[in-house]
Amino acid sequence: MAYLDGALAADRMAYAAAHLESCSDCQTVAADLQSVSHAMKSWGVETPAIVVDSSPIAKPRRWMNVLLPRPVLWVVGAAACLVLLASVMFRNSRKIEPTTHESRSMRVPANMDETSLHRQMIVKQSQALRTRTEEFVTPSASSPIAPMIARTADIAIGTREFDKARASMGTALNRHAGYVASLNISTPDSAGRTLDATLNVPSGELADALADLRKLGRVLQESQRGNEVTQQYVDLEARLANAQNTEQRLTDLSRREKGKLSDVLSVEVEITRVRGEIEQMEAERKKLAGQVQFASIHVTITEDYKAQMQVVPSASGRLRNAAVFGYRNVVETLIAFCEFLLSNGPGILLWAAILFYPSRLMWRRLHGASIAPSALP
Amino acid sequence: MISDEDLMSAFQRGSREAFDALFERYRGPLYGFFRRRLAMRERAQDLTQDTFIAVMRGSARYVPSALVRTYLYGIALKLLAAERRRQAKDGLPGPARELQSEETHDESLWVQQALTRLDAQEREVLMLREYEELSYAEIAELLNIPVNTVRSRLFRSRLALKACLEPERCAQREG
Repeated sequence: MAYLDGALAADRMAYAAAHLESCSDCQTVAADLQSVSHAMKSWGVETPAIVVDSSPIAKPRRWMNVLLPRPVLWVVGAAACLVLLASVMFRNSRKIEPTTHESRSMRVPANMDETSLHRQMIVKQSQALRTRTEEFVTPSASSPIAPMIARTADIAIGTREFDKARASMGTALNRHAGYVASLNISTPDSAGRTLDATLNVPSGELADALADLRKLGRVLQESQRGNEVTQQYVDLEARLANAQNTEQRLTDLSRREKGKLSDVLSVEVEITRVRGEIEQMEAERKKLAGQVQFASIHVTITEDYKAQMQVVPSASGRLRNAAVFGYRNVVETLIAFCEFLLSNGPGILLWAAILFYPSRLMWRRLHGASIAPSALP
Repeated sequence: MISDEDLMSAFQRGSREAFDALFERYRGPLYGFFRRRLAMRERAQDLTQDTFIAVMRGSARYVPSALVRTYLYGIALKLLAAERRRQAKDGLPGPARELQSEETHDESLWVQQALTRLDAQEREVLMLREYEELSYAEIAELLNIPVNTVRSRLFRSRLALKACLEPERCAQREG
């Protein structure tokens, strides 16, 4: 059977094929099985009317019918109508105008079928989520909120004892439960060392920390700033709460609705987008809270520069240096000559050996031709 | 041609086109899977759609340890089992009656009737092999049974279907 389905290894396929050629019983069985497969293929299925985008598909399932029996639904519906009627009467008795716009918008046109109504409901729900939640969660102007201030300070200090100042800065930082955000030390040739650091200390410890830093040396420059971020933080909180409500409602909607596939896909895409916004806002809120909780101090410590005295060398020292330089030059010249011989000597010797005999022959001919007549007796 | 696994990876990275391509590739086979096992066409369409919705929602958790085709039919089998439980709870016809779908062609009617007489497990193996054209290993993975069990069930179910088809053919010829 596996042979007919092509599910055998190559060697076993060959063996089975050879056996099938010679065995009539197996040929009969194989023919029967193939006829079964052939008969099953006659059961075809029509093309499904399911598409992602435009074509209508099956009507949405009434999920409430699944959850509750029909009589219970009728009772619940009647009770909901009674509660709605009572609430409208109560609102009228308090002389509050009803929102006729909302009631008008919920009317169903007579020519609208259930599927189109369902689609519109999904689209309306997803579009209205943001506005609805923004209505529910808005920063209240009357609610007392403690001012949130992000504090920063700059201080520049000059000192003669740079190492001691640096160690004292570390001690002060530990005392006030702060930490170093960044630190850089530079040592130029013709100037004193410079330390440039950004320290973060709890906002309540800012004044004490600055007082300790002033003791490190002379204060060359100092400044403080406070940036109130209360409104920014409250707005961020409100937007975050709105986004979380939107995400929750979208999640509920995606779990509850089983309508058109494209609508479900749109809801899923929307959930992903809202989740990204939430994570971005949470990071922003965390950063803002960190700025409020910890004050930032930019510290610059500069070491007083001490110019070095230039000492002129003596005559004996200069002569000694000249002798050393002369000796070094002789040695370097000899080494360079040896290097030249070692690197180029073999090549020179080779060319000399090649050109020696031709040159001597040429020389003798020229020299012999010029002296031969007069030299002969 | 882009493989199913590449399409699934692209969909995990947010490509809508990849999902559309997967949908177009498996829309018909999955609908056929449900259509041959359920009596109502609407339910087959619903469950086909639910399969893709499950893929969409579970795409973040998908790990390419198996073929996408096996993954899809695994979801479809679970949805089918849930549907059958629901139908049994509501007192609707069982699997034996489901196979006889609403609109049947004369040529395939006798095949459907013969399939209803098979053992349920053997019928599932046979249908997965013949209609979904899954390999022995894929069927074994889907049904969580050894490959040799797939072989034996397939052999028995084909012989049984052959035996069931003979009287139907005779009756058809006589008719």
